[in-house]
Order: sequence, then structure tokens, then C-alpha cells
Amino acid sequence: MKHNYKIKLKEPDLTDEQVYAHKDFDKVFKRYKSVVDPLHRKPLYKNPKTFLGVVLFTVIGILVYYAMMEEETVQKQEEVHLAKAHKMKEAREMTPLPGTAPEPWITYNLPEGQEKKFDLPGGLSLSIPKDALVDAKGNPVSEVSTIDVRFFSDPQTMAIQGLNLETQPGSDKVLNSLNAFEIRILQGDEELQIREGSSLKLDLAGENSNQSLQECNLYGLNRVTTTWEPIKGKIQVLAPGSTEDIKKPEGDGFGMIEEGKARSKKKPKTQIKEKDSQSFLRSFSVEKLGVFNLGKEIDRGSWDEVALRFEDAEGNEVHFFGMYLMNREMNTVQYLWPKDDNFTFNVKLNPDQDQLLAGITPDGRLAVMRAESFKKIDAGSKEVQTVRLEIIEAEISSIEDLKRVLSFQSVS
Amino acid sequence: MATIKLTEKELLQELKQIEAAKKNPERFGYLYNRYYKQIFLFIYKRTDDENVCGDITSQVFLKAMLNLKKYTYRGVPFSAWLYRIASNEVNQHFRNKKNERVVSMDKSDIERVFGMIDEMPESDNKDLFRQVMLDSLDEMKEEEVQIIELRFFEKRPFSEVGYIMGITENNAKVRVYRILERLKKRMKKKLEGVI
Repeated sequence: MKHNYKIKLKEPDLTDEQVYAHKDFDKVFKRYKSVVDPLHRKPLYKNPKTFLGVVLFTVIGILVYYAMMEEETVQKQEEVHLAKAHKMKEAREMTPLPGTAPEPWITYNLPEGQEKKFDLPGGLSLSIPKDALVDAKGNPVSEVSTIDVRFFSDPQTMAIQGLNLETQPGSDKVLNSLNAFEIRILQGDEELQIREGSSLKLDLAGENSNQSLQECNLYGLNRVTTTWEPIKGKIQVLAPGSTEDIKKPEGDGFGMIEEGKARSKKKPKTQIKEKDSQSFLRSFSVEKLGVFNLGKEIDRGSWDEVALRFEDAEGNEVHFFGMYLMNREMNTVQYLWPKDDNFTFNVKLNPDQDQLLAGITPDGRLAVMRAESFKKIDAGSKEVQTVRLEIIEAEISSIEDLKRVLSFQSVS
Repeated sequence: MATIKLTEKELLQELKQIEAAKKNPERFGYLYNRYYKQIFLFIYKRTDDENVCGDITSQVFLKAMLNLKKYTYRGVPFSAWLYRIASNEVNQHFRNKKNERVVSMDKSDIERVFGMIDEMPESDNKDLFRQVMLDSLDEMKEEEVQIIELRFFEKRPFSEVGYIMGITENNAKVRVYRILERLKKRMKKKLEGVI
């Protein structure tokens, strides 16, 4: 029969010594304590499985902790980056230099319903065909309107108005300016448009010796794309003394409105010379009103590009979300954006030219870098250079104040 | 090996020690010293291995300590409670190891069993009877042999046999009687073929 025992015909013959050799109450008691009281259990390092388990658990815990910390750090960095990017995007809206009134308009009355030709300051002549203007709903204008013109004759004025003469943002090509101006036509407070299919004729007269005018083109600023779009035109050489087509504006004869109205009647300081000496005429068909620049493209591709960061007189880093680089010799202005979230600016410059860099600090103060500081920049360096800016502490309460501060040379 | 019979005074003394050990496990040392040898030999007879026996003995006393609060005196001495734990531990050991457990006996044990069986053929050949009994025991179930072992080899009272086996005293008596009847039948059958 199959069973699980064997019969042994012999009584155990153990001595007491053999029996008591295994007697150890302390050992039994320790085992008992280790079961009922975890503190009396075997030390961790004597229990390889538990020890390895604890080590593994700890390592996993640490890894998970660091992974979470890293994720959190990355998330925070992303948030900071996004915040900066958002601010930088806002900065890309190209806000004008602050705290000043816009360049004043020169305003004329526009008689209704008949074709008119206006001689404007700066050698401009604007011909408005009959029924060429419509209101915002596309209805023909029948009531008396006003025509406003203002000129941006120098880089500071352009910067104050928030103009950027790069042909396209970020382009190596920038327009110089022989004459920049803005035209608008109003009926009451409503801005009028040029009727579709119609156009206004814009004439610019120049002297025979003025080669620039012949070389220049007229560009209209597309406010949506912030690009300058060339406007088709033709050049007409005038016989000497034939100045009757373009007349200088004369007082009320051109409908200049009275002082005390909302818009200023102040004339721009800079105007082109008298038309008596003009010998040719540039004519352009304008299909949209707005900002125009008469100038030519300058390729800055061969210019040095330097990476700049900025600090104040105490050596504190100063951040800008946008800056204006003005060039007096070329009579142009360029708007700069920081290239990274360290607020580094890549600046294409010609150190020999008279330049001015200006921006607004995050706390709203004007900061400028003048021509003499440009000479200290190492134009050949590829490293990021930190340059000191002059923070303007003086109160700026008028456009004259601002233009005085934005002089190319230091003002004592 | 028989259970140490305790006087009433000794029994009361032991119960006091048990209560003391329930409150303070270090006091269990008294009970350990008192019953260590009995339990060790009980296990050794079934394992025939000194080291294994030492380990199982420690395990028995550990379990006794851990379950001491459950122990209550119900007419069966504390030693019987320890034997029951020891018996279970031995069985558990052999289940785990899948080894054959040992049933140890000497000649007097066999004769004691033989004395319990009447109506056996007359013969002076004791060696023959001894061999026939061993062969018959070898054909019996493990549980039956275990009862024989407890009752006749270790000379335990029925109450203790029943307690260790987890059955009542009366049931232990009935089963011992039936086991002896079966053993007698088997031995007669074997002897008829020989004598």
C-alpha cells in the first residue's frame, strides 16, 4: 500500500546534550518580537530582498520626482517664454515713441462735387477727380470735405509716428526718404476712401539738379502687412519756367481752415525748395490714401550686423520689446525686434554714419544711444555686446521736448 | 514518552505562568524550559533528523507564543496543546518537503499493541509475530498509524489522542478499537498463510 511514512523499529537514542543543543529561547523570543513588533525585525541591510526593494523604490521615487520637477521647470520656462513671446508679439505692433501728440495735420477744405487740383506743401500736387471719393459704405460724397496732410521730414519724426522704412519687416532692404507724408480726406470725422476703379493723381515736382527725385519711387504703406508697396508713376520733364501746373498753396485760396479747430494748421518745418526752379515732374496714380514715402531702396546686405544687449548707467540690464534705429544721413528709420527672449537685438549698422537708437524701457522711460556710442561697438564681432544707453530722466511733455531729446548728438 | 501528569497544585501553577506569559511574552521562557525536551523528542521521533527537529521545535514554540492568548484551559493540559501544534508542524513540514515521515517504535511498543489483540494463533515465534505486525501496520493508513503511535507507542490517554488528532475523546476510543480490529484481521490472514 502506498503511504507517506516509514516505520522505524528503533526508539530515538538522543542524549540530553543533543536535545538541548537546539534549545534557545532567546532566538525564539527574537523571532516572536520580529513578528509582533516591526522595530525588532531584521535590519534592512541584512535582508537583501527588502533592502533591494527599498533601494529600487527610492530610486524610482527620486527619478519620478526629478522627472516631475523637470516637467514643471520646462512648463514654467514655456510659460515664461510664452509670456515673453506674447509681449514680443505685442511689441511687433510697432508702437510709436510715447508720450507725445502725433505730428500735426495741415488741413484744407475740399469743395464738393467738382474736380479739384491742390498744391500742397513740399512740392506736392494732388488732383481729385469728380466723384472719386466715397464714404465707408461706398456712397459718393456730396458734402464739403477736408483734406489733411502731414509730413515726416526727419527720422525722429518718422520714429515718433511709428514708421518703419524697411521694405518688408526683417528685410535687408530699407527705404531712404526724400519726402514722407500722410494724406487723408475726411467728411466730418469719417475718413473717406477712393472709389474702386478711380484714382487720385499725385504730382511731385523736382529740380533739374536733384537726381534723387528722378531715382526715387513713391511707396505706399500697407498698414495691414506693414510693407511698402511701390506705386506706378511716370516722369515728365518740364520746360524751364513752366510752373503753372503746380502752385504753391496760398492761404484761404486753398481752403485752409481757421485756427482753433481740432486739427493743427502748423506747417512742417522742412519743405522742398520753391517750384520756380523745378524742371521735371513725377506723377503717380494713387488708389489708396494713407502714408507715402518718396525714396529708393538701399541694400544693407553688406553692412555689419552686431548683436546688442543694453544696460543703464548703473550696469543694470535693460530690456526692450522694440527699438527704433534712426539714420540721419540716409534719412530713414528702422524698427527692430528682439531676436530672442534674452532681448538681444541684431542691428545692421554702418558705424561711420550718424545714427540714433531709441526705445522705451518696460517702466516707460525713453532710452537712447547716440552716434558717439555707436563708434564704440565692435562692428566685426560676432559676440553679443552689451552697450550702455542713456536713460532720459527729464520730463517729456511735448513733441518738441521729444525731438530735442532725440538729437543725434548729446545735448548738454 | 507520556504526558507529564500534573497535580492540581502544579496545574494551577502552570495556569498562572500561562496567564503571566500572555501579559508578558518574556515569561513564556518558563513554559519553554518545561516542555522543550518533550516536544523536541515528539518531533524527533517523527522526523529522525536532529537539525530539522530543532527548527520545527523552535517553530512550534514560536506559534505557541503567537497564539497563547487563544489558549484556554478546558481539561486538557497545556502540553497537549503544544503536541497538537507540533503534530501540525510536522505534517506541514512533510507536506512541504514531500518526504516520508518516520514512525519510530521499539519491540516493547509492538508487544504492547500485540497484547491488545486477542484470539491470535498460539506460537512461540515472537519474531514472526513482530514481522507480521510490522507488515500489517505498513498496510494501514497514515492517520491510523498516527493514532496507534499516540495511543500505544507514546501511551497517551484518549483525551489527549483526541485533542491532538482534533477529534473527541469518544471518537478516539472508537477509532482505536476499529484500527485494532482491522489490524487483527490482517495479522490473522497473514499468520494463516505462514503457520
